[in-house]
Amino acid sequence: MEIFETEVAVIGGGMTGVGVLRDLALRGVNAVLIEQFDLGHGTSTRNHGLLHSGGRYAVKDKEAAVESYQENLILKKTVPGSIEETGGLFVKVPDDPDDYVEKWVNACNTIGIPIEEVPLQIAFAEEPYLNRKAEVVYRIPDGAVDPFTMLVDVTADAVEKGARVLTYHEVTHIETTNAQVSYITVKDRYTGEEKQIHTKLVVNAAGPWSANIAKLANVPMKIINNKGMLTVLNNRINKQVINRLRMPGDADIFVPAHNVTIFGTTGINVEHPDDTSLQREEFEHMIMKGKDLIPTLPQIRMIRAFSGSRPLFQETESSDASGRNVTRGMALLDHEQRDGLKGFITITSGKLTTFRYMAEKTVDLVCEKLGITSNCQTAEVAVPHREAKQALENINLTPVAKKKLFSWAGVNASSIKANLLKDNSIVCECESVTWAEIESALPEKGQFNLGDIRRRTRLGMGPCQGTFCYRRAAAMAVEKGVATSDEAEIALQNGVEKRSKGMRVIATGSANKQLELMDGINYVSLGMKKGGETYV
Amino acid sequence: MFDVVIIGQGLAGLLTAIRAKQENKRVAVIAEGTGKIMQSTGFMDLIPSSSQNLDESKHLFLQKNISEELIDQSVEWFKALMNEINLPYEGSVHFLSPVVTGAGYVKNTALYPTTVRPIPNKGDILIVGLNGIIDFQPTYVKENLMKERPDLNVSTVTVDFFKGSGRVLSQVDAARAMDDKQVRARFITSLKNEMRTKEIATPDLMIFPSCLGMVNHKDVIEDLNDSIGPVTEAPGLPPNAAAIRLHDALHHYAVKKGVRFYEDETVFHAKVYDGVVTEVLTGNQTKPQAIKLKQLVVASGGILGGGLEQVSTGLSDRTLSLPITSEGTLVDPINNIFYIGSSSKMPWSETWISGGIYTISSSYSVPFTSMDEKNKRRDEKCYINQA
Repeated sequence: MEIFETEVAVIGGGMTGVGVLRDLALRGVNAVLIEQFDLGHGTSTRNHGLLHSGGRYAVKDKEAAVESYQENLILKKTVPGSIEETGGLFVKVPDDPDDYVEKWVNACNTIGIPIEEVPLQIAFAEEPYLNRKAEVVYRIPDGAVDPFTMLVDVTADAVEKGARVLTYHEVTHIETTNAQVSYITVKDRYTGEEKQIHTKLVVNAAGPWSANIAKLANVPMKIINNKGMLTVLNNRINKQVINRLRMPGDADIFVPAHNVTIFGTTGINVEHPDDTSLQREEFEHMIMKGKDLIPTLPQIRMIRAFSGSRPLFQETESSDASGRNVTRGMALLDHEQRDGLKGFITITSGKLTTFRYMAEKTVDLVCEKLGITSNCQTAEVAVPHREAKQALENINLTPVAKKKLFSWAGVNASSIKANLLKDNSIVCECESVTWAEIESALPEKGQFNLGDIRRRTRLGMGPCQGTFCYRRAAAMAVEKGVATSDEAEIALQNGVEKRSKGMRVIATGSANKQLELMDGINYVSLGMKKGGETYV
Repeated sequence: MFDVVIIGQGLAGLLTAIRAKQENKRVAVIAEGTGKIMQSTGFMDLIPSSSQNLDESKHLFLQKNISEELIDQSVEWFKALMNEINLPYEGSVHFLSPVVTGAGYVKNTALYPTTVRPIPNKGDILIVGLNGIIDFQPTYVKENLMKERPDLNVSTVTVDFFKGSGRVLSQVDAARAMDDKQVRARFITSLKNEMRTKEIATPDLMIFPSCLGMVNHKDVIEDLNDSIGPVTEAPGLPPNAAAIRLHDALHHYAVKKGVRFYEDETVFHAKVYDGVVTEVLTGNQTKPQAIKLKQLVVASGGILGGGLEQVSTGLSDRTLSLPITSEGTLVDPINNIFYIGSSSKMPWSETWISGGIYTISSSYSVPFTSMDEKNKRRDEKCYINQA
């Protein structure tokens, strides 16, 4: 068994965990992050990708609104490669209560969120899909954030500054001695090997799984896992974020993301953090509600649906449990103070938008505990931009793929460029993903996993949902010796199953046809056997 | 006035049109697209994604009123037709043949074009990839094939064909290029050089992607056979040359025999009197074109083909907009409408793909009978309605 020491062990490879890891690295604190699957396995890649401006919470949850607006400004500066400054609209439609508008305007003004009323004709010109019966429209500095790239980039920067990351490692044990955490045991999901990590401090940033982690440390904790469903529209129907100007409810946000729009969401409390099930009724409910903002929504083709759980911390059992009324502000728990266990801190709840602030507050507490005096740098020090036009200007590649790489390759530009010289094939035509990018995204060791590749390259995220490109990527991986045929087969079985799951629930019309094509090609044309081996 | 109007020009529609012509009917085909035949592999599977033979599956066919005798007759007819149009098919519904696909999996199929040979259990195999054709990766095919045929001695080679073109090239791009004699000769020279460099002896069988010529596939195969040895195609991700050849050959033959094609046309209404369809309307609502008919054959496919659509309330008939059951059959059957191919759900199919053999036999089951008596009565009735 490998045994090693670290000052801080961060549990959870979501946005909060990697934010904490980078903050620690920037302050020179030695740290290791443990994630049970891939980075962003949980809520961090299962959300709208909305960079809040605070407007949504202005009336109901002032604390969350203030944090959101401050962080909105900071992230635009510090993670510029993952943010599109789309701007956003808040739209009141006929059935929304009239008095909310005034309350909202006042709240935004008090907090200092810059808002501006937009004449309806201008709003309709900017957003042709918007309901023509809209009554009031305000502009607000919302943005779109790519949670996939933000996760990967923040992590890469932390690693570059000395942090260590263990993905596909599950925490199996937390050892405490004299009311102080002494070490944790983690298990490699692929090999089954165990590692013992001796540490002074554990940061529990496991999101929906944080109650499970707390349990390993014998600390009582209640997390409401509030599952939300989202769907991906086949096209980008809006230039800017479209919110509904009313108390936050279901199915009232449309966020543009690259060339698609993400629409959602719902809120249903679920028992298990692993529950990412999708119900047709929930989807239909969402479409019915979403029609208020975008009347043609039922006719718009969808690519897939997905769901993720908001981990909402609840200190007492008696609090409201509907999910929507629990604060979206963060919960930072000092378990030494709360439960008498030294060396254990939980950071949970909060928003994607406020991850950096959550990390700052967490690491402030960590430093205090460890007696380190070091100031947070993440509000000023930016992660490297994704822009790479100069480095890739002369590559030999089709224009559409080349143009994408200009604003995508980032720090990987030189490795992608080198790989392109060997092979400039385009594997995924929907998202213009080259083999060169896939090769750059492959881990040095570990299993060949199409989901991991997808999260890093957008392979299989387009309308065909991997029907062609998953097969191509798996075949090329075998061809080039980076995967065995068994690994490729497992990756395909798993990848196809996961993609179909998200398609099945929305499968009417063209989406259903697409699913039939996927099954037809795999199981009929190619003769793939159903129900093979899948992942750990 | 047509004796037979067929909606759809996939395998089902084209075969029905040809057979109706053989029986001297006046035939029209109305089609909004090219048919899913283009996305197929050219194989005629008995039960898609299954290895069941006819003995094990004939009860399923009987559920759709297709007897073993009918299957035998229709297959015989199909093979004779394919011989006549110079794209012969081999194989049998009673003894399925193992064939290798573009992913290297072995599947069992009933009928296959002669560009394909069944995969043996033993012998020396050479898998030939073409640089630039991303959908066929020879080592990947080899690795998967070896799992199912461990006694084969398999080597691979990749030949530069489209080097550096910078776009995704398909088997069909290569097939069209192979039609050219000089390109072909250069390809064969490169392949021989590669084999020499890798010290590969003449194999018992060479496996290619489905790219061995589009129009001149016989020449391509002959040239490869003469200069190196026997070859087979392994159709995989669409488009496959084997599928395009099949479509082109059937379509060309139907046109030659005098089938009238209304292409890029959608049927938006069928007029039904007294349980009998008399005409269909195409074009658009404001300026419709009426096509009168005696018999209507719906061959517009299932979900994938676009004849049916899954909507939130259930299954919808996109072809004639008539009320249908969740299995895709008419709630109120109409005497002179015949649904063939994937136009209704097969008892064996999760994918709504019916398979080549069902398509052939259901198409063959359409009776082309004289409808004069019935039409006469109906004409009188129409007259009364108009008066």
